[in-house]
Amino acid sequence: MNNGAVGIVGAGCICAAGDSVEEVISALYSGKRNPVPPVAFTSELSEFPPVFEIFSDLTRFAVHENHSRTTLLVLVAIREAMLQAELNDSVLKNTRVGVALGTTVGCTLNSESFYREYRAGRMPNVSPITKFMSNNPAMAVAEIYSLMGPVAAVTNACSSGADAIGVARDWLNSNLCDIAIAGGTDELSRVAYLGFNALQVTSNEPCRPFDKNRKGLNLGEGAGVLILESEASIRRRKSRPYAMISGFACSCDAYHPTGPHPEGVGLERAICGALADASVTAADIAFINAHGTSTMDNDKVEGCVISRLFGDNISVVSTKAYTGHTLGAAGAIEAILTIRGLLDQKLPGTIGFEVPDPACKIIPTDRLTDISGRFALSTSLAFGGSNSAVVVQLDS
Amino acid sequence: MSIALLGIGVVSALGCGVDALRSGIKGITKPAIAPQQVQIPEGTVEILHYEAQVSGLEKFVSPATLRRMSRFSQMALLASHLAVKDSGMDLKDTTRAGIIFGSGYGPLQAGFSFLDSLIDGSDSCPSPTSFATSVHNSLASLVSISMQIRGPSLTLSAFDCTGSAVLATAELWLDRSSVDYVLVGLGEECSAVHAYATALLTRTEGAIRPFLLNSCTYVPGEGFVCLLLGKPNNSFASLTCELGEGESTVASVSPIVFAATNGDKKTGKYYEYLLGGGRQVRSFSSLYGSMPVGIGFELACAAVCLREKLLYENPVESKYTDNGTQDIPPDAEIACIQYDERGRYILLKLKGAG
Repeated sequence: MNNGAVGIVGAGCICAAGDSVEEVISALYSGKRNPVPPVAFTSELSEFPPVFEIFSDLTRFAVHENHSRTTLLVLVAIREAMLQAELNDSVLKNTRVGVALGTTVGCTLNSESFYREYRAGRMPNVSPITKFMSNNPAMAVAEIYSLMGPVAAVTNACSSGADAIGVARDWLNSNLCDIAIAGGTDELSRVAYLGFNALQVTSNEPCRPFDKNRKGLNLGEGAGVLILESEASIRRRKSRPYAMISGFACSCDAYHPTGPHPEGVGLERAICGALADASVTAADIAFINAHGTSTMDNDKVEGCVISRLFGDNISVVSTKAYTGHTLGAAGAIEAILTIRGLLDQKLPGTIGFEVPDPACKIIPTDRLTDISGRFALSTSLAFGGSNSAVVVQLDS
Repeated sequence: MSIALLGIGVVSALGCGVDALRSGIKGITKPAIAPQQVQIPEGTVEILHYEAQVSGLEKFVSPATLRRMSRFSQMALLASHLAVKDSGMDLKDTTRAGIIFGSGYGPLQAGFSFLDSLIDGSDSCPSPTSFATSVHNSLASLVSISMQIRGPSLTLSAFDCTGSAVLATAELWLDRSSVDYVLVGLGEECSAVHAYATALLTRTEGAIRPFLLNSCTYVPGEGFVCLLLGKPNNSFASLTCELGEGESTVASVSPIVFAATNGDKKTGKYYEYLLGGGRQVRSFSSLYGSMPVGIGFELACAAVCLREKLLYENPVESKYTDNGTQDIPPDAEIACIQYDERGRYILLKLKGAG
């Protein structure tokens, strides 16, 4: 492996496009998506921005009755990833396993019903608080699987899932653990739904990443988990990595609390840092799974940076067109779909995209597209000006 | 890897800055502990909390900016500026400086403010500003904008696992040279809901008694501590970080240990092995309050002791640990340790430069 690269030995994913990596990628390749008005909660909005909601029964995955939907989602993804990675109880018991999971909803005490009761002086039961305290996703996973490696819940807003992968990779490279469960998870939340609506960045129609007529994002829910393993542990366990995280970098715009820097200088630093970290150049990158939220500002800034660094012919996709914006899970789900793109040597079309926007300077895939190469990039941008870039590589 | 502790910024119930902390450690200043009457089904109870004293931020930001900031943001920003000022350094290439902030609970009050705007207004017009401020990394974002720190930025939140993840990650960033400096920040804020939950969930037995390890003497604290860390150089102290579980062999042989015990009965048992045996054990939580991120404050207290070349006595008398204030050599080493609920620890060894 490259210096600093870590092996990917398992992946699991659940989102509105499917309950497993295979289901999700099949939906993407067949151009299916299902944005609908939210069912999980109601609101008094005059128009309902659609969401990408999961309708599968998750309760069968509950280990404890107090587990939140955000925790259940990540348990689904972990189960799939662990099966692929052949992580059984014996391995978990005898190996230092760390957990780095990104989240936004999962670390926020936003029980509206509790707070309404509290404000009204009705002295509500504090069970929503105890539930919050027992559902920090990273801590819950460490508890459920009795893991004694390092634990980090990354709360870097929309880049949390990607940043968690970066944190886990650092742990493995520094021998803090042998195996790391890395990813992100978030459930749909009425509070986040109304918050994004208040920021006027949601669209009342299905999202259209990089399209000239895009109107904003659609929220989604889901979880994505990678099982990462150090080179020494791979040799010891004789496990079979099928891809690697070979580069990661993040940087901060230091510009605006919610919007990206108009020139994308922070994103450019993150991408260049990740390429350098992976010891590759822009020419080595087969395609980019962009953050591509479908907001006016994000897509314009991101498109311009991609065009500036990679030229106009680089293949770009936004898989949020199929999953919605899953917040703390987004970077992890997109890293997983990036790996699948490399493995399959093809990319889905960016569904919803129809009319190129000259301001974005790139044209994303509009149909199933063959690609060729061993390296790909996944980018994440976040509130607070955080930018992250992950380089994934097929195992050599 | 050993890293350099370059500067400390503290905002706590003792006041702002290292001088205020030192004054508290010496017993000259008492922490501001505020009572709050809380209605619970059993009646009205008084809940105490340590109230951070935030002042002086106007030296660093404009009044207009200051007015728009939440109280928690003010704590974080003030502690950040104070840490850099304390270092005496000018962060020139700010792309080579990173930020890692952590909070056990995050900006809870901003989240409640957003809910207030929903309840008082309507679903269609809640406060976008409160929503943006309720996102955990809003504090790091604010600091990055104010100080133009443009390197990597990370925010972590996992109750009493937070401090270990933040400090271990800072060490890794410096170790792999992705940055030259890391501004580490750890803090919490108190709120009325916090007091309500404390009243219902915690049967506290009064003021914090950090060495009554089997008793709950939890009194919520708030504040923010920032540490400017860098690569090894000629700073006044160097730091190493170790994660582990169970009894720390390093801590058990260290002659001076600062334990982040804070009146939390669930973790108290893990510190028992450190008491006795002639070891000098200190805890200063009775000065800053019970917080998931107490390790940051203990580290700041250890740094003050190393600068003063004095090991101050415990602020709360303890038959196990108190030998009074003593001289310590310039190259003394202080081990700071915090356990989480599952018995995992972070051990920070802070060594004076000599």
